Amino acid sequence: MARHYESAGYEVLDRNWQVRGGELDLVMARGNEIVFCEVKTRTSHRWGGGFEAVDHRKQRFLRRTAISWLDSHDVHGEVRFDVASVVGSRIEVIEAAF
Amino acid sequence: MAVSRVQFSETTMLATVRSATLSGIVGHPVQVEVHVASGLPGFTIVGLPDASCREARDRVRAAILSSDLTWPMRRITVNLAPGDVPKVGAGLDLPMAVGILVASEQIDAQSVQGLGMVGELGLDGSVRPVPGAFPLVDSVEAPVVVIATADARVASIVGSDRVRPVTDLKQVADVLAGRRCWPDPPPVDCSGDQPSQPDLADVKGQRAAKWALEVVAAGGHHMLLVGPPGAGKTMLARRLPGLLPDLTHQESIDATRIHSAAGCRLPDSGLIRRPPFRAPHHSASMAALVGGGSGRSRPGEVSLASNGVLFLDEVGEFAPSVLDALRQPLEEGVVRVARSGGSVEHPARLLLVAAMNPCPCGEGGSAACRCPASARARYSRRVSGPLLDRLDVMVQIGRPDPAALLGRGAEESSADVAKRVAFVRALAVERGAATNAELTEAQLEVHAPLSDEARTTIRDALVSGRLSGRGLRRVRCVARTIRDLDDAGTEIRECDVAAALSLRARPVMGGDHD
Repeated sequence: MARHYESAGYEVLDRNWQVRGGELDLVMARGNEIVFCEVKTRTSHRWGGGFEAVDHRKQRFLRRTAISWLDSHDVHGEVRFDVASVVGSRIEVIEAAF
Repeated sequence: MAVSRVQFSETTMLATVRSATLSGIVGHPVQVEVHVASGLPGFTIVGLPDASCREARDRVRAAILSSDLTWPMRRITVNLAPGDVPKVGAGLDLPMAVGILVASEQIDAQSVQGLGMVGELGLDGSVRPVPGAFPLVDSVEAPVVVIATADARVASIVGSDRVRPVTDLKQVADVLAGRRCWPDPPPVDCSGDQPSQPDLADVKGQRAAKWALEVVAAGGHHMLLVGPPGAGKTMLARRLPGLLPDLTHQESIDATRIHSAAGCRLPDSGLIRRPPFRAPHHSASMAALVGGGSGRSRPGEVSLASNGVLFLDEVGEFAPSVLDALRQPLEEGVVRVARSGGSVEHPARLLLVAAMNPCPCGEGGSAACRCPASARARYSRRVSGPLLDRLDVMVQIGRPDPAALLGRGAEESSADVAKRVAFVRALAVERGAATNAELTEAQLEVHAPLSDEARTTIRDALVSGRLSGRGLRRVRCVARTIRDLDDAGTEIRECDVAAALSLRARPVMGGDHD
C-alpha cells in the first residue's frame, strides 16, 4: 500500500501510529498535502466491502486521531483523508473520502 | 504485494427524474436529482424529506438489489427540489431508484426524458400504490407518468394515455433499456361502481320525517333529527345520499381528488360518481373533522363529505369546540386550515345531517323519561346556538306508528323521490345557484318574492325573536324549496313560509311531561 503511494510521489511519514483510542494506518505528505489513509483489508467481499466498514463513528475516530498526530508533529499543510480497500491483490483508493 | 489494479475514481454522474409530492389535497411537482460521485459509499437524501420519505434509503437499496440491478458502491446524494416544499410519503422511492440507475449508467439518461414517476418500492422491487395518486400524477411536470398498477385506474382520470402502470422496478428497468414495451393498463371494470344504497322504501311510516328529508335533499339545507333511540334517525340519514343526483363530472373529479389524497378506498372505475356519505364517530378530533394534522394537512371529514352528506350521529356527544369549528365551513363552503407551515384551502360544500336524542335517557317528551329537568337542559345546551341556527330543517321523530311498522303498504322508493329532488335542483341551477340553500338575498328577491301574507308571517317571527337575520334568508330558501316541491310557482305563499318556519322551530328538548 505504502509502495503504491510512494510511486505516486508521496513521502511516508508514519505507519500504524497509535495513541490511546486510535490508530493511523498511513500518514504521508506530498507538497503541501498531508494524507491520512485508512487501509481496510478483506479476504473476500462476502461480509461487505472494506469501504462500508468506515462508518461515521470510524470517521470521527480517524479525525480525532489525526488531530493528535498533527499536535505531536511539526508538520503543517492541507489535510486529506483517504480510504483504501485491499481485497487479495486488488487495491482501490478513495481520495478525499470524507 | 502485487498491485494489480489501482483505481482513482473521479467520475461524477447526475440524473434528474420528475415526480410530485402531496400537500393537503394538491400535488407539488418535485425534481428528484441524483448525484453519484466518488467517496465512501453512502446514501443521503436532502430537500425536506419527512420520516417515511427518508426511509426510502433502505427500501430503494433493497429494491435495486432484489431486481438484479447493481447498487453503486459510491457516494449517492439525492436532492428533492424545490428545497422549501416538505416532501411526504414514500411516493418518491421509484424516481429515486430510477435516478440512481441512470446516474450509475445502468439506464440511458435519454430514456427517462419526458417521464415522471410516482410509486413506493417494496424490498422485493415491487411498485406499490401511494395515497393521492390522482393529484400527484396531475401535478407531475411530464407528459407521461409511470405509476403502480394499483393506482392506474384513479390516475387515468388525468388521461389514460398519460399513465404507464408497472408492477415492479425490474419491469421499469427493462422498458427503459428497450428490452420490452410498457405493460398494458388493467381493464376498467365499472360493474361494482354503483354500490347498492339503502332505499327509502325500507322506512315504514314517518311521513313528516321523509318529507323533511326530501326538502333537505332538494334544497341542500342542513338538518337536525331529534328522536328517541330506535326511531330511525340513522336509518333516515343513511338514505339521504340515495336521494341526491349523481355528481357532475367536475364534482366527481373533486371528490376523487380529495378521497385519493386522504388515502380512502375508491370505486373500481377510479372515479367517485355518487355523493359520498361520511359518518364520523363522536370522538372525532377537530383535525379529523375539518382537516389539518401534523406535517401534511390531511383533508378532514367535512372535505371528504364535500358534495355529499356529513352525518353526525349523537351530535351532543361531540366536543363543543369541534362542533363549533364546523360553523365557518358550513357558511363558506370551504375550510381554510392555517398551520405554521402554510395555509391550505379544502372544499367543504356538504349537506350536514345531525342527529341526537332529546335527553340523556332518550325518552324525552314522553312519560317514560327519567331525566331530571336539569339534565335535560344540560343535554340540550350541548349543541351551541350558532350551530343550531345554521340547521334549517329540524325534525322531531317519534317512535314509528306500529300500524305502519307492521303494515304491508308500499312505501315510496328512493328513485321516485330522487326524481323530484333532481327537478328542484335543476330549478336552483337555472336561478344561478348550486342549490336553493345557496341563493343570495338578491336572487331571492327575483326568484322567491313573498306574498303579502307571507311577509306578515315572517315579520311576526322576526318581532317575536324566533328568527335571526341569517335565519330570515334561510327560511326564505327553505320556503323556496317547499314551493318547488309543491308546484314550483314563483311567489312564496304564506303556507310555504309557515312550513319553513315550522321546520326551523327548535324541537322541544326533553319535553314537558311533569
